[in-house]
Amino acid sequence: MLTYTAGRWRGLIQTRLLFVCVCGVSLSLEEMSEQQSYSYENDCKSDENRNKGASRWSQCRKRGADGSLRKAEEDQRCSRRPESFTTPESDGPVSRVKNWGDAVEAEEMRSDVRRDMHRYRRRILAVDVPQRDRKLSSGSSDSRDSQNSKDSTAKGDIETDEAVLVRRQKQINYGKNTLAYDRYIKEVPKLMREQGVHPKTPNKFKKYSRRSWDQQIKLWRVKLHAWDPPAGDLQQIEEIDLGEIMDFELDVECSADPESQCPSANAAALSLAEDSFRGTPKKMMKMEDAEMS
Amino acid sequence: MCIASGTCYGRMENSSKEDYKIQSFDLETQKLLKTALKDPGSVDLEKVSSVIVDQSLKDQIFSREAGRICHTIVQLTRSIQAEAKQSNGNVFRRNLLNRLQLEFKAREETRKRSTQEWVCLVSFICNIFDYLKVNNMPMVALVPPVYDCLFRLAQSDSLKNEEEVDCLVLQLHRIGDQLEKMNTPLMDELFNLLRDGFLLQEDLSSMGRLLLLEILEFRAGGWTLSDTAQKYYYSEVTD
Repeated sequence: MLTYTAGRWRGLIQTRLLFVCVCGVSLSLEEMSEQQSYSYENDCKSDENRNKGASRWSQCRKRGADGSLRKAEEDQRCSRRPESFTTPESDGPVSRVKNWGDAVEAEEMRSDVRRDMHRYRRRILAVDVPQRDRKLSSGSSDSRDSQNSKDSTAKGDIETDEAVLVRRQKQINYGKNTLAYDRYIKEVPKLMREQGVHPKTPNKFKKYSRRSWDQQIKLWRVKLHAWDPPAGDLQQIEEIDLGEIMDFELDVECSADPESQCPSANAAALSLAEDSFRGTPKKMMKMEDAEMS
Repeated sequence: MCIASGTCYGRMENSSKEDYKIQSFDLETQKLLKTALKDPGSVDLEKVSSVIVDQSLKDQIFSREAGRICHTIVQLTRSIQAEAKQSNGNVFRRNLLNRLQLEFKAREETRKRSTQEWVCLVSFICNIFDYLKVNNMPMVALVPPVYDCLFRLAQSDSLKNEEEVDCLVLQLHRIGDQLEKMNTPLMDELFNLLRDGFLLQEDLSSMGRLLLLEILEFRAGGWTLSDTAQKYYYSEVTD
């Protein structure tokens, strides 16, 4: 019959303490049965320093109750619930998420963006190599650009801030999650894309200011509207035949004008949209050729 | 150990026949699931995730295997170029995880109410951890909850219960090595508890003790059992 010796008891105490701290969960062995909720919080109540100490309500106040200026670090150090925290398993600060669904989606975005970055880096390095002439004229619409800014990207001057990349990727996803984008990529293969005429997804790895990037996204999405499905029946698309192509073209040009799908667009953007409609006959012809051949 | 009578295979063009063990569902739900596997865009994915979670809490066999069907549905929903892009294709996964989170929050009550349900819940969460990966990596967000469940199972009131010990060692067999990679100190602590339980706890059944000893050896051997240990634990002894 084994009994608790001092050594073993210390061992158990140690275990319990480590469990409570490492897990970051405010549970102790006795409380396990009562504990209902699981939280990531670091409970840290400061009973003293009610003037200077942080409470939920004092986060944003510049001065404490006694009128003295509140120092920024005190707020951080004391009990304000951290907006982000780093757990042993995460790669960096994790924003407070309320549910697992969101947490996993955020995880996925970060991991996608990291993977994209590795691929992009490899591609940039490949462009530098002389023998890889084929890569330059390949379908990758990035290659022409990367040749222009080859120097800066080769130096490693790409956007690496994960928060920025994730935000940019979200904006790109909004654009790609549209019917217009779907129709666009089905209709115009990358090889056939013409610079200026066909919309091109902004490159999230290039260094741009926030304003510049946001504007690029806006213009890109405006251009994509050219491929919006016609306002009428969606059936129309499936049933189209050669005879109807002319009608279809007319429909598109009509919808281009007054009720522009981009109400906030300025004159420049509108003319941009019209430019892309000038491209419409070309793509219509290509469709015809494709159908005939 | 899971022998189900009248196995039912999901019909999928691309992959080989997968046994999703959905026999325990009523016929209408089976139909819903089969449709989901063929054409996820056509069903209410929230409902699908809901029935899967409900069933996994009741059915021990399904709770251990539900991860696979969930994985398939997630893959399918993400690959469809939906004509109507209602969402970004993550509806099913999001609903599944959030529902799972609710169940997890209520786990202590569940445990008090029914050990079987509690054990099913743990099996299901671990199975999801095993099968639902993010870019081929385990979901980081699930690591603390999974550890939480295992630590709970390693408490003395659970260890004396053979059903709970069995659940604990099953999960460690299946996902122990992955969990350890995600957080080694926690795994060390868990095994300290198991070691202590094995040595010091008096009200363990002999089967419970055997299960604990096996898992201790299993981990010590790098998440695998040596041949001699395998013979010791798993060959039939004729008296």
